[in-house]
Amino acid sequence: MKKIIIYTVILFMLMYPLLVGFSNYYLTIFFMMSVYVITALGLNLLLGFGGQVSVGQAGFLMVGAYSVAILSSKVGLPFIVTLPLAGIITGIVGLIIGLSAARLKGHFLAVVTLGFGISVPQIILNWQGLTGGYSGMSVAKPTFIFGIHFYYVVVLITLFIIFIIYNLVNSSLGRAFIAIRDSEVAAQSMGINVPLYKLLMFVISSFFTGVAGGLYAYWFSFVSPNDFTLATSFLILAMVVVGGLASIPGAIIGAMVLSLIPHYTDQFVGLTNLIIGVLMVFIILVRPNGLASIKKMSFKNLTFGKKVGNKGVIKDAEIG
Amino acid sequence: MVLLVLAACGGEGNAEESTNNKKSSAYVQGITDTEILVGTTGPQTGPVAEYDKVRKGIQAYFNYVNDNGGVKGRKLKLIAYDDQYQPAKAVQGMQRLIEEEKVFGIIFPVGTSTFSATEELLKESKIPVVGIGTGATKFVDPISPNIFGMQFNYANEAKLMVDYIVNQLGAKKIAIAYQNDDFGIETLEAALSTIKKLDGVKVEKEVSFLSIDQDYSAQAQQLVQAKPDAILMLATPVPAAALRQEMYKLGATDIPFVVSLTGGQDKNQFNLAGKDVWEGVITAMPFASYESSDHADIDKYTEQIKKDFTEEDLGALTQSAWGTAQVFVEGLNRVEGDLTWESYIKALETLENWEGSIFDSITYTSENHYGNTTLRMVEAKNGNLEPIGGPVHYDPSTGKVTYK
Repeated sequence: MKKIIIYTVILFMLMYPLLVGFSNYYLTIFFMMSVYVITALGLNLLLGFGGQVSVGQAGFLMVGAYSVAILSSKVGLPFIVTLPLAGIITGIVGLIIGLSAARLKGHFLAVVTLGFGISVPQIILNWQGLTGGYSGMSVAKPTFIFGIHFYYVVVLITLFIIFIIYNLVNSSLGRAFIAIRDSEVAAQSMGINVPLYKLLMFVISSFFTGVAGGLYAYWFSFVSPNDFTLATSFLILAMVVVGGLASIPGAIIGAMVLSLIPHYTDQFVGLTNLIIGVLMVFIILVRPNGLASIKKMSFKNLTFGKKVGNKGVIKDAEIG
Repeated sequence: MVLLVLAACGGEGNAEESTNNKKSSAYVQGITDTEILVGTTGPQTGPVAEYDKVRKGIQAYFNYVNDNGGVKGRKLKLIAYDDQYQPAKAVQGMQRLIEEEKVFGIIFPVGTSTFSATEELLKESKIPVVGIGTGATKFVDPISPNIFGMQFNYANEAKLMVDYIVNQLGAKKIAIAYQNDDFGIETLEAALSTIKKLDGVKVEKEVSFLSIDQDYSAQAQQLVQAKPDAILMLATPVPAAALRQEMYKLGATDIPFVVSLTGGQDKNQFNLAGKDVWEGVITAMPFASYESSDHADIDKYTEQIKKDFTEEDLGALTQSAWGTAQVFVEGLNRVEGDLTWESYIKALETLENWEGSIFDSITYTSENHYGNTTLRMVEAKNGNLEPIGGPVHYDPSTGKVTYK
């Protein structure tokens, strides 16, 4: 059953451009969704699986986007090189932020990442020579994957990253992350090198976020210091919370829902933020495990309705 | 997923509908027997939500026109998308306006970086874009056939101000303080090139700063020590106020302090700098302010804004949006025969020193898409910006400045 869903989703993604009549607007909606899916997965790895708070993910997106912009426009490197490099550069920045994460917890870590998220646009704004400052810089579009082809490149990369993260959280690495989240002392006593794994979390998360930022720069062929602000960081956090912490489908659903809301509400001034806010409060009050947990329950009820009973509820509780 | 399918289906439906419309009525996109669709993007929420006043100004004028019978029987309908000043959102908004909503034209898209991001898209689509919300030269020179400026061009403004300082204030030694970004450097270069051509006038001192600087005391010291006849300040509002404060502390407010329109035209400067501090500053506005204007139609503007929105929305932003909407509609009125993108652009290019809007005069020709090239010099007095003389006209083709 799971496989059928996955194949349907993939088939849908492949057919999507035909369904929307190759409309750039709808392709862009899908693209932004992909960027947020990758970013939300990255944050979920940190927050949901690893228990490390970050409210500065926009900073990583920005580093990734500007890495691509600078490497492609100023250095002239091709797509195939710049995109992984954007990930690596962002990963290195993540490593530096992660160094503080190894020492800090909870609110303190949140403040550090918050500061990071705010400072990146300021640095870009003032590093005129490299970044073009206030007015942003344009990105040379890779000619061979222009337009519709680029859509499929994005689909491939997104699927690939989902696949990697899925395998990652189900590996010993992922289990170590979860152990650290649940109890650092217990994790340490089991022989897990806690500071090292915390660093790893930040590096992996920022790597993927950097790649998403890089894709963004290519898609819009333009980057500016206004692209990813503090509001973006909170939006990504909201995606993970609304979708479901420590759940891969949750992060994906959260990212999709929150990036689609503006499509329906944009014509009404201020409505978008209102709806996102109400949704956040509603989810936290009614389903603290996020939208993913609703899906899980109804899905189980549908297929194995009689057998689930209490078991399903217990399993849900365990996730949170 | 379901939402996405819905969104996709919605899109398809729209597309079919509009192609049907097109076939049956033979109109171009955005035009029906009863309606003209017009689109805009700009910040409505977020840190610079102030710019939502642009939308309000356009909407107010459209309401005014609709209440008075519309444009040749067609009502104007504005679709505005929030871009939160983010280029990606602006691109999405523009794609949606052009491809999905299929608007006839774009009016007053706000912001330089957001416009940079959408520029290619707009050029390729060939949709008429009237009154871009940026005065950067690169968008209007060299000319793009479908893109029309309106904001007073930054470089032209600097040239005009130099002329004013030299010919009206009689200054020979000029000091320039400029903001070290695209805007500041573009205006600085324009000012320097003008000064170079003038005999006996020289630049005594150049100082620079960043828009986020906190301390302007060093710059103020340097300016005072240079003993200039006048200071030209090419800046955005916050640095303009901060530097003026330092000059005030040094007791150097008697040196004429001329601030570019971007940094000076808002009365909020009195609050930023302090009422006594800002007193005496010379700056400019792209039109006579609604309070001092003798324009016949100015009451219509104040009444309509108060009716549709609130009194607080009166001011430079809604005023220039109102003016831009007037120009947009005048273009529509001037179209002879079928209303198409080509005929509309052609009609716009017949505007020659047109005085029917809130702006003093508007000119579009096939070589000049600057739009507004007339300013009003004003002086800060008793919490008001009081006009000094009449309109000042800059001719972009000859570089000549005339005082009326």
